[in-house]
Amino acid sequence: MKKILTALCLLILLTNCSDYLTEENKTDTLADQLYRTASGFENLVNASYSGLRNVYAAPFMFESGTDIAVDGRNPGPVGLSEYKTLSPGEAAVATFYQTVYQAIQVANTGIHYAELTAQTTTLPSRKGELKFLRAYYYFLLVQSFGGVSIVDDMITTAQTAFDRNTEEEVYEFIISELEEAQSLVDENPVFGRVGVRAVKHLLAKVYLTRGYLSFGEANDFVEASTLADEAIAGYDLSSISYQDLFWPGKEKNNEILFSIQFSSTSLANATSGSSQSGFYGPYHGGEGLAKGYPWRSYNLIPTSYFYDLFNQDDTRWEGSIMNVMYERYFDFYDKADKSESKISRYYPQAWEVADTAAWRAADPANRANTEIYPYEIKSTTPYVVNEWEQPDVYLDNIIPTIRKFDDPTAAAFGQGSSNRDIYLMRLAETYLIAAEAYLMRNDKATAMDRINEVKGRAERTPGALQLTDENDVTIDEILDERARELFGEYHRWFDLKRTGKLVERVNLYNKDVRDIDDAFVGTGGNLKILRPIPQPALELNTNKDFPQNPAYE
Amino acid sequence: MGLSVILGLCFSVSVLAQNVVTGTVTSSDDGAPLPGVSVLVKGTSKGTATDTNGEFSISASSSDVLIFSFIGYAAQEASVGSQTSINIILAPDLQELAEVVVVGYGTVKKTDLTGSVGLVDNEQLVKRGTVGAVEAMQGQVAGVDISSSNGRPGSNFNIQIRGVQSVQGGQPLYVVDGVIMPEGIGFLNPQDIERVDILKDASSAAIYGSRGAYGVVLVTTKAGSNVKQKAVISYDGFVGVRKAARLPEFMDGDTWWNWRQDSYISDAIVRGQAIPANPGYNSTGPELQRRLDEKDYTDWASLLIQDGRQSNHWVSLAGRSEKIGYTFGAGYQDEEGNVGGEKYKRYNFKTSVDHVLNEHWSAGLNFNLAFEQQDKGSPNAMLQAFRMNPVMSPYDVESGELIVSPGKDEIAGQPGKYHVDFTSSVNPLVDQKNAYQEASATYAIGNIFLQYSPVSWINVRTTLSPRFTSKIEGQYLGRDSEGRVGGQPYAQRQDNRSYSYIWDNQITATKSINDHGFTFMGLYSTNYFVDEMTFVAQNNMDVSAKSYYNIGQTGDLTKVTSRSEYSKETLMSFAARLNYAYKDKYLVTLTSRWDGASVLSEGNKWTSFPSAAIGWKISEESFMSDVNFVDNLKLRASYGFTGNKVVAPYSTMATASTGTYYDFGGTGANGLRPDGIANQDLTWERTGEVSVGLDYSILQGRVLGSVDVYNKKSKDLIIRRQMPYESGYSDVYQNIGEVVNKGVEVSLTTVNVSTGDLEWTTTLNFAKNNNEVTKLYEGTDMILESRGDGYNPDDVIQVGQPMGSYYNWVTDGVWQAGDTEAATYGQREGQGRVVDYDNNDVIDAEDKRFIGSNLPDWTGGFNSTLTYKGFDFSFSVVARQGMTYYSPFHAEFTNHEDRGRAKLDIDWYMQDNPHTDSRSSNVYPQPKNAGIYWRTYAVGYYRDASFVKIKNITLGYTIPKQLLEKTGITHLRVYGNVLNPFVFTDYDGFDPEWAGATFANGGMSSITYQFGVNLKF
Repeated sequence: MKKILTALCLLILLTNCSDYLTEENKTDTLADQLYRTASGFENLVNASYSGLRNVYAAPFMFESGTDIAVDGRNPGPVGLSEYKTLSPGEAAVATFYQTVYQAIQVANTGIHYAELTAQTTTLPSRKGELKFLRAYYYFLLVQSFGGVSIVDDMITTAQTAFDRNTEEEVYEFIISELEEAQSLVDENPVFGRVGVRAVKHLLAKVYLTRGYLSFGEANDFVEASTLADEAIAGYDLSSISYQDLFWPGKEKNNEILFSIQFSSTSLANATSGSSQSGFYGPYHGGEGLAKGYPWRSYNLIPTSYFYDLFNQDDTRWEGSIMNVMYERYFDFYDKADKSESKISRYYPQAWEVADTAAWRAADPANRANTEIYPYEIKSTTPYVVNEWEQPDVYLDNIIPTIRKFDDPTAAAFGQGSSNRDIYLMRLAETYLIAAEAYLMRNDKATAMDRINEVKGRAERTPGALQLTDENDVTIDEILDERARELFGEYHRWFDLKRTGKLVERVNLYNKDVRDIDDAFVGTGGNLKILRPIPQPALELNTNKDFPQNPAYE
Repeated sequence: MGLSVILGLCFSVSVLAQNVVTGTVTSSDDGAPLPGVSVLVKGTSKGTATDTNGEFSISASSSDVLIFSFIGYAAQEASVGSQTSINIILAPDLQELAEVVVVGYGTVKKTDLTGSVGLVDNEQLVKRGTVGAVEAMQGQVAGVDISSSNGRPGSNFNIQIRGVQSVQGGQPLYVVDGVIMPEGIGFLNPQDIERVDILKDASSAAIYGSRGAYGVVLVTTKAGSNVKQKAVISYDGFVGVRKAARLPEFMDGDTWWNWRQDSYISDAIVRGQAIPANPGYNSTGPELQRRLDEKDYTDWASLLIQDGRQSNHWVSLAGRSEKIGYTFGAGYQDEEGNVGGEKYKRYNFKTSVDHVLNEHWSAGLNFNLAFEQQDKGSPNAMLQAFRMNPVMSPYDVESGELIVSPGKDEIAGQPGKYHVDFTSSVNPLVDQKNAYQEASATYAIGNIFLQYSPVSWINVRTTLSPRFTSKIEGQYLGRDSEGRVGGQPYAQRQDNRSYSYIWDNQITATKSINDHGFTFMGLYSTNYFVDEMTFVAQNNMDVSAKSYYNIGQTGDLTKVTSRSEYSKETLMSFAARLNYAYKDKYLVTLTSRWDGASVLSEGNKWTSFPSAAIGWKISEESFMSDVNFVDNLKLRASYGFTGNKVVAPYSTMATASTGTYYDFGGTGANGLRPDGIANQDLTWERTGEVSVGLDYSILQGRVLGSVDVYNKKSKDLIIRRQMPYESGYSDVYQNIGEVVNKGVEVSLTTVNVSTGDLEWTTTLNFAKNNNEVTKLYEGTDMILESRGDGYNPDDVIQVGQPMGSYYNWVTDGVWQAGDTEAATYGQREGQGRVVDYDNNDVIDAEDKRFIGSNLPDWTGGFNSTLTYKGFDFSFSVVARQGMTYYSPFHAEFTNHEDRGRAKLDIDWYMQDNPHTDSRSSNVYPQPKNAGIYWRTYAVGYYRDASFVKIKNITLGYTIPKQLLEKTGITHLRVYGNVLNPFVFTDYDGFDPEWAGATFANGGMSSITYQFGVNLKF
């Protein structure tokens, strides 16, 4: 018996308890170890940039329910496109709120480790980039929701209570963070990274936005115009035409101050790229890769009002819309000699309709069988509605499609298959921010100069689009110009909200909203100008003193 | 004193005459000699064993009594007297196998059992003719609820013992010959399984500590140590045909076209637009109209469905030669599904050798090897075959050849113009040839043991049990397959390898002192598990690529993605069990296991799982001695704790391995972000259970069975607690929440008729389990936990309701013409209505209700066996009642938003319109106008999936022995068997058993017709 016990004791000793039960992890790296190294920290910064791809995965918070886009055959989130039913339960709002906070937390972690990680020459700049990104996310939140909870610490435990800060506090936080970022980031960054001009552009927009608000400071528009001019830094728009700016493969150009990067080499899979190209316009069919055309969701189609913003001198019409569609759609981009390319569809604008027969006769070989879907007014009372905005049946291909974001090189067919960058800040917009800021300072002359710079690039013949009377410079003119220049670039809802024109213009130009009585009126007669704090966010927060926005209580 | 005893013994030995006694021991079964029978002189340790010919030789005096004993046979005694030759015929003790219960690290006599353990023996397992053993166990043991997850060859079966106890889900611990098998027991050939013992209650399962909470399934394969007789070769096999059965009724071509037109008309009405002149027509040319006029429709499903084959062959050799017992076996099984390309094959090899070295030492080894090959066919072909509408044809109008996209049959010479214009989905007949999925697996498990008995009542045993499994899953999608038309081939391959060892060291001591009987078992065990994974995939392969065996070799190499993972887990355990019996009437079992686990954080690693059980053999009491009709009556009661081991490795560590993707101007800049918030305090979920049972046997065994009741509370449930959005993390795992399972189990076996030639036996079992979530985390009485069935906002875990609950608005009809109330709710004629419970004219969150749970209200089984002379006739029935599922089948085939795909033959509502006849229905709304509750909130797709299945019916005939005498065959039985012949259910999808399966995973119901042979030489 003793021998047995001895043997048993020996067995137990063979396997040393404490060692035997230690975890061995060969796959994952411990976060704390990783981020303290220079390369690990770099990984974290990259992850923070990558959050932008998630935040901009869907367009609805940015483009639905505006004066220039309505739902096509496929409805987006109805609350966002029609306001009346917008409620704290709206899933698209919740997803946005959650995704932005996830991105913020990655930035928080990065800023936390910036103080602990190995010192490198790039560290100050990286810290500035992280501060910029975090401020950018808070700017999205404050515009959408008003005051939100400022969470600026790295979270490592199951913290369940968060307070709501005021809108004013959030703006102060954003401004102080961007001021700091401005002093840290590179003057001439690697393409895709945040540089000083991008920080100035954003800061200008933040000041401009705050200037409209009740707590805005007297100097905000001055700051905005100064910063915008500094971000322009003497560059004009002559370096690239509007068509080239949106030509596939030319995303790396001088106009871009900041864009979300989507190189094909940096996608997890063929459909984890940009979704921007898929959302605007009609469905073309399901055989895209085989037949050479892009995938579209039939979600957001332009309003009649948008089509009417152009005239024949504006190259942005063809620059934005595929008005002449080849049988193989992508021939437009990748076939230099199109003499053999048959045209399957033609969408003549108002000024082209009269010459349709002549257009067909000009090239009978390729145009004889072209289906023509002309600009056609459907009704004028009480509003102008054209066939393109409201066809009888939403069939494939019968309305024009936005081509600015097309990617003929996409490796897959479907949502998220585009390899093209999403432009978040570009020089033309900087000019328009400056114009708006000068207008708000009542310096209309300078404002007109800034607008004319943008118009100057777009016009077919020099001078054709130029404003000459500074009294024509109004907020509406600036919003129209932004529509022509920036359609689909994820600014519109914020532009309308910032300028206080959301209710007015949407009720005028959005057919779905104006058909609803008091679409914007929520509880207590309050207007739905801010988005609701998502119900799940309120429920999961153990701090019950977190007020809902007016109109949704 | 001591000296005098020894002297006395010497003296007595020297005065009595010693004779040599010889003889032969044979079996009463077939008269064959029995080797290895123990021959012992009663009252001494003097003994021998029979040789290969069953012969023995021992010296004994005339006053001695010899005891002949052999496992599996009733022992006999014989007085020597004046005999020098004693021939013994041993009769098999048929009850003995069933009389012993395997309880983990040991066995106990069934009469001494204090816990709740179910048994399925080999005969029950092979009788059904199933490919896997688990399916054969369905409905055999009360409270062991078994169901299939799909209808394809090689499908998985889930086992739920006494209810669901964890949000994380769980399966019982599978132990095959001492080897813990996380993969389950599907790799074994049922023919090779000697018995399956199922530990149901916590007091029994506590010996497996942190892994016992979901019950323990102990599988004993045929082992050399159990072999009694000389060498026997046996063959068991069957062949079968598998036919698709009980296919749902789909709309015929005319009805479907009516549906399509109605959907176009509805759409126009809803949008306030003019109704199109030719609703539903969107193609060019006369072909579509011709098909409609001539009713030239295609039944797509029938083009893909085929008859499958099935076979199972098992050959084994088992024998004993004195001290060595052995079993060798080899098996082959295959099954072909009802969709082309679906195949399953399995090869099994087994060896088991047991050697009694001498009276102190014995050793042995068991080894099982299995290879499995599963062809799953195209991932999309079956789905598309059911989706394709009857108006489409698989053949091109002009060429008559198979067309890639039957919905886009282009008119020759008119690009962009189509004969029919529906969908770009790929022709399943083409897809089937261009896409496939496969899985193959290898299982190698075994154990080697060495046992030492220093004295007869102590056993020390060390067992090393290695295990290796490997699984390769591959997928190839060619150019002409769904989703890839016009693109380049795609392939992926995933390799999983898992290896483990368990080293058990145990000591068992059994001793009786007067009225007190003790058995003590002590265990020290170490467990080591490692899992490895490699994944590679490539998009845009070269068109010449034909399989997943050339990833990274052709095409666009920038489209190769890969991933690898490693995970390791160790466990160190001590366990002790004491069985005590007083006067063989009062029984006590005390058990405890202490588990130390690598996956828990420092300071939390060790946990103990104690239990206690008592038994009272009432029938042994003197007051029962007059109650003649009772053979056996025993009351059992137990209380114990077990753990549910659902903490994944590394989950208490804050890691950063979530890959992110980015670039700067085309230069890759991929990153790693934190994986989440690590909870250092995680520990095992813990279940405490009270169980009381009564075993009874009356009328000389004509009626026997047991009744059990239990109440168990599982707490510290690991729940993914949703974090506030502002935290930036979605959730964190915490030990929160409680669930209670209460239930009753009844089993009853009756011998209804037992005359000389005729015997009829039936067994019935029934179990009812009530599951209720009793606690979640503070401030929360409901959480969402997606079950991945296609619509997930309804998947809730709710305090006061069972697990697996659905929570949604309740549909109660269709708004009819003239229902003015519809407008109050923002709805219109034809749309699906839901109940406004609080009558406040608004449908809001307050109007949602508990729809049902996917857990059964009760389960049961019934088996009947009738034998008459050589004939045997039996059948079995399995019942599961009260489950509600969100049915992905109905979400697909009664989808009112869709108008291009085939539809289940339903009656729908259609309002008055100038083109088609109006239709009435108060169940299915108007196509393309189903209303928000059907369209967005999927209220129309819940189905009750209760069913009763006749699992099998068998008729067999055993050829009389006298006819076989000259053939060398000792046993020959032939039989016919039908598997799953009848299903009684209201569910009108594929099969109620997998009503909750997503379409891609489910599949058709089937009936298999088999013919088989059992043969022994």
